[in-house]
Amino acid sequence: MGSLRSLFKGGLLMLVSMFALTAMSSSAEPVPEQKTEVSSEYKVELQRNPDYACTQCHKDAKDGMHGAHSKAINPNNQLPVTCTNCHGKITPEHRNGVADAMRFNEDMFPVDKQNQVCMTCHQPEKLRTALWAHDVHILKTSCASCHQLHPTKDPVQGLDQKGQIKLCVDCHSKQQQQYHKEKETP
Amino acid sequence: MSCSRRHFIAGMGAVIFMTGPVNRTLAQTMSINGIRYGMVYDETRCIGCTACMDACREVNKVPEGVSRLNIIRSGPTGEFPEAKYQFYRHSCQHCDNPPCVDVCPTGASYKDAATGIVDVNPDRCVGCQYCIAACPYRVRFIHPVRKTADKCNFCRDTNLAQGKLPACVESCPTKALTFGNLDDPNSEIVKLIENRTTYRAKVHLGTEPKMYRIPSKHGEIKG
Repeated sequence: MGSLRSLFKGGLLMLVSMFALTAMSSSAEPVPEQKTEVSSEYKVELQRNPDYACTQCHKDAKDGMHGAHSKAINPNNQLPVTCTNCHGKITPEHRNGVADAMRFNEDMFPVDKQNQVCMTCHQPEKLRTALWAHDVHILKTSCASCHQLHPTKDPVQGLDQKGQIKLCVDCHSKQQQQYHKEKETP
Repeated sequence: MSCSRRHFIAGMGAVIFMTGPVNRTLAQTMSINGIRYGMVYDETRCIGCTACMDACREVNKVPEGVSRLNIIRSGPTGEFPEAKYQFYRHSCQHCDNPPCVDVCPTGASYKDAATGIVDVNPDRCVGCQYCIAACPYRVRFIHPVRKTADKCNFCRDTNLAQGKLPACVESCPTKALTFGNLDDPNSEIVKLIENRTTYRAKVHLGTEPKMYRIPSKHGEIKG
């Protein structure tokens, strides 16, 4: 009996001391608990990589997205930009080379279709501020014919005045040559 | 001989009277029979890339901060994505009746008789800036190194002297500039002026500029 009572006493003491310890520890850090309560809106976290299905086949593109677009947040849904945001959804015939996923700077899709994709995020006012020439090319040339969308640094953005002029001159001279060629051989 | 003083004076008077007008007609025939260089700037072809400005600066060694040639962009007119821009070439008009030459007190500013090009002789220029004030097109400036008046001279001492076209004409990717002899009826420039709608800036001032412009389809003509 005596031993049983002492065991009970000891157990009680341990319980009390544990309670006191937990109480102490909880009183030691009350601030972060309050903080989490303030921003406790329910947030959906992506459980899987949205690009997984694409990169299973397009293995070279697995780490293909660098630079501005890799960290970009899609302003339309406030989520990171994925492959399908720009390239669109594929059809079951995708492997047979049908024109489903958007290809940039290829003749498979017309210029306006290509540029519409970019324009869902990039606003005309900001494009105009960056360079006036955006205004006069948007219906005629694909964005990707000057810009590179995947690499770390878009080579066009670091261009100085001379480089910018060269870009205009090279493209427009080629256009003129082509025009004259077509004129000569009807 | 009856060569009296009276006859001599009368004879000399006649000689002076005759030689005066003869000299003037001679000078005029020189400018008419020589080359009369002019330029056509096609605003409808210009894309505003400013390659001409760059080429001019390089060929003529024009320092930063000043320029012989500017392409002024105005606009946009219309709404995105149909916004349009207009371009205007701001450079010497090579007037046949140049006010800058008239006001120059040292004769540094002159119209070259062989080509009709208005040019500046930097050795004669004292930098008084009368020409800068007189030019209605505001194209003259003081060269920051030479401290003399400077402006476009159709590359007379650089490209033209080497038998090439002016730097701006050579560098234009869309062939918006045509340079040639306005007195040659078979030249490309004369045919262009005959066939296209052209205007010249501030003709009402009587300066008779040799810079012709094919007006842009958008916005107003700024002549």
